[in-house]
Amino acid sequence: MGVNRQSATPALGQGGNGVRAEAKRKKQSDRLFRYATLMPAVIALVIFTVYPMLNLLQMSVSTITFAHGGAVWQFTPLANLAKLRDDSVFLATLRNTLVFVVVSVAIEMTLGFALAVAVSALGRFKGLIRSVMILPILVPPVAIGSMWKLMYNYNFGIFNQMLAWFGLGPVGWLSDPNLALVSVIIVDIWHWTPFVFLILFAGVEGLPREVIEAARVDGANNWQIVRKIILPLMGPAIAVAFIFRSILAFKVFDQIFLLTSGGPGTATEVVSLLLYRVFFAQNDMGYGALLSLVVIAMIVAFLLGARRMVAGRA
Amino acid sequence: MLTLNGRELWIGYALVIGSALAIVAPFLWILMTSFKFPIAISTGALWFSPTGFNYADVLFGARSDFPRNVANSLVVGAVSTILVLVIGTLSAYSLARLRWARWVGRLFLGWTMLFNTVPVLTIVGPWYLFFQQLGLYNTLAGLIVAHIIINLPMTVWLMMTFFRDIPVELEEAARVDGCTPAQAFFKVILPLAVPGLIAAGILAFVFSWNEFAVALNLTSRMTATVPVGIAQFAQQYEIQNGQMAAASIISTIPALLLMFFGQRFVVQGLTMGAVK
Amino acid sequence: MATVEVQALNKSYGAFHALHDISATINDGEFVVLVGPSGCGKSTLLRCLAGLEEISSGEIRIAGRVVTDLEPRERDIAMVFQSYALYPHMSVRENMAFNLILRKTPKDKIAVVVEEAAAILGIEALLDRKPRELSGGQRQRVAMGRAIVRHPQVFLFDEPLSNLDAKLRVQMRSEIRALHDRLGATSVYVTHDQVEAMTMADRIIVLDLGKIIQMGSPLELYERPVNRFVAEFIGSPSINILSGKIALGGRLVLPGRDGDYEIAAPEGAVPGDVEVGIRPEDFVAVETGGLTGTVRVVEHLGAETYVILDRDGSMIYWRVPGTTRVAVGETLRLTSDPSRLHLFRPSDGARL
Repeated sequence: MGVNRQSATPALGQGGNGVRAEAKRKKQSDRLFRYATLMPAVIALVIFTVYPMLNLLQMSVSTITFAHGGAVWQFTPLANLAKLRDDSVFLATLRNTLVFVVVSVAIEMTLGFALAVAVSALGRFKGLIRSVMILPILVPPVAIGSMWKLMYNYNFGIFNQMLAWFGLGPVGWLSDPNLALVSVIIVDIWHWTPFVFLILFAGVEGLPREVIEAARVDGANNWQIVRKIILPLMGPAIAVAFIFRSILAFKVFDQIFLLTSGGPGTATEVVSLLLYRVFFAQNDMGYGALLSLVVIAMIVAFLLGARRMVAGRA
Repeated sequence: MLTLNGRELWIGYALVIGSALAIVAPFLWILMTSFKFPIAISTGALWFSPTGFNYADVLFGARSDFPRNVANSLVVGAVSTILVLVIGTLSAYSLARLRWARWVGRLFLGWTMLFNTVPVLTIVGPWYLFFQQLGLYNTLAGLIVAHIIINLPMTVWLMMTFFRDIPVELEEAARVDGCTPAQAFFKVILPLAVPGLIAAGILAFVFSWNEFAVALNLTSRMTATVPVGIAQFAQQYEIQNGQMAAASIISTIPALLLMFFGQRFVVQGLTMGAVK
Repeated sequence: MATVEVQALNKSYGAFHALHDISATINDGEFVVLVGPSGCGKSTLLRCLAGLEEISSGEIRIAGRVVTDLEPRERDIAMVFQSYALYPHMSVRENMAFNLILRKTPKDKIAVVVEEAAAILGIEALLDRKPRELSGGQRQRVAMGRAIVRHPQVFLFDEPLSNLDAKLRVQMRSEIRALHDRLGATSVYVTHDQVEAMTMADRIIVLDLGKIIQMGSPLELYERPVNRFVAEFIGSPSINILSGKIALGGRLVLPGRDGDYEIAAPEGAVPGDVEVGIRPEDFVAVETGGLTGTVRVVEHLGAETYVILDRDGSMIYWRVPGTTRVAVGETLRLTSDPSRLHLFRPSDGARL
């Protein structure tokens, strides 16, 4: 662009080179601000996310042992792959995680939507309900885990107590291999339905009133309004809640660590717990890195697929 | 909105009241438990004489690490929140307004999105080795760095949404009025983004206070945070149920404070991206 | 001496050529209005003058100084935005003083200048309020105040009245013009509203598709539009365009089902097809001959009346005094003074 401007008539009066040089200097300070604002974040991300992620590659082909307070790396490209091939726990873990994500997110979305529509329709207690619903989201997941661990307690937990009133139980909520995953899912539903509610409630409240009133004038009953008007209009909010929840559910760690630590057996072992166990209980940094890469690859594939799906719909 | 009547009205009330009770009840039960002697807990007694024993033991017991956990959590939460706000706000403004080539924003947001989607435990392994090399392992500084990184994506996205809501004309007016880009940011835009800063800051602090997976693996007894401390009660050979309940209740205090005093900002922060 | 000179200015966004070889000179103290349909580049041009957009090639001079590469803050200009762009966190006083504070003007001087400007605009009572406590008209005045405290070389206005209601718009229009005359500043004013352009401007620059179509005083544009586009853009109701033919022998023929309408063609007209523009007020009713049309709609505005006639399916606007009585369904015959006709070439709309 500078070249083009040279062709214009030479500057009149006090214009000319002095002004241009000054302009250039000023622009440089402007550019400096532009870099200075973005660079801290970029540098932090490169050092503490990009580099460690690349490090995973090297770790995944190594066997790392700890001696004299330092890590000793050995290049063993196939050892970890062999472990992966023989790892039945990993498959069980993927299955558990999938069940956990699908079941809990499906129930949370349904409940959260129903609740959002109900609170909006009743038009009362809006503030109160919102206050109550914020609580589980803000409380440390570990505290939620320990709360429910106490409530699920075989001997004195509230559930077995209540069953006892009817002459039932006791039930091994967390110790029965057939029940443990369900119990863990129940906690997640309790924990995260409020989050879905908050997002969908904001969505419902943001809907144009006139459209719903028009539908009512057109003779739609409540059920039809929900099905034909509210649900389609809420599409974006529902999608956001769904994506957020799926990602968070896939990453679940804290509560399950507290409740069952993955047990009994591998009944509630999920991806994050397995990574923790391999990395820090078995101290197998190399194999942990390989598992991490597999998980990351699956997520990238999922994200690309999801993006294509969204793009295809738009 | 919908007008409910008859049966629908009852279903609506049942759903709403039932849900509210279901959310609150576990908190009440655990609160109750935290005031019971161990004997009363293990018999499941509904009637008991309340005691502050568990709290006293957790907070003032000679063997208890919990006060140190609280102090660590406060330091890590406060410092990492301030730093992530500075770094995140600057970069969010830069990406939202300072005319970077499109690929810069895409790469930045794409990478943070990916980083935020993968389980944090995939990166805690490399961090463990890296932090040992750097001398950050088992230090509060190390945990602060980790929490800055974990909270950076959320902070950037949230602040970008806020900056995009501020009309470009204000910046242009400032530039015509004589501001350099830096002055336009600090004198005009930043004051208007204060609600966003509060929302992002609250969430960053809460997430840092609650964070468990990284703290568990990069700290040990002297540097452990509150969630790690709570987990300790469950991990010990004999589970200390009363202390665990008391510590859990204490750990919810920031959440309770925010529920009463910062609710507007929390809801805004949590729902911002979703509704737009 | 605050002239604004633009020379061979081009602006493109990638492949899109937003402004095309714009050259114009705005004289000291002149009030120039940039007008055109949306997307014509008028706002872009204004933003280039302000320095908010970098230009692709060409040169801009303000008061003889080349400002092409300068930042907005270095150009000594003030701008009033469509949305006013008042700083919401500052009081009216702080809004108006912001530029002076940035320039490190002494405090007592700032106070004097702000009070003065507030007095001119009649907003002394609002100085300590925040923008959100003001009505639309008051915000508009504050935005003006922010501009005038600086005594800039040039005022730039970007559709400043489009957020006001119709009545206020008419009032502010004359106030801005009066202010301009009082300050003796150079003003460049962007609007899509041709009425604003006609009423306020010393000179109008009509833009379309990124090019200057015509520059001239309001009456020049109205009486001698360079092409059909300008003719249709300026004037309300819009000019009537009819297709016709220049016959041999210097007669202009407007064919119609109920007989052709023939008049003497303006001098020097070349035989061939033409488009004929007739302003709604240039028709005269006659008993015989002329264009025939059936009255479809009569719009009474009070002082004047618009009569809309159907002539073989195309609509003709006729503007008559409010005292004229016309009934729907009537068939009328209209003629026009040949000297009031505008002839355009059908292929490109250029004036003949």
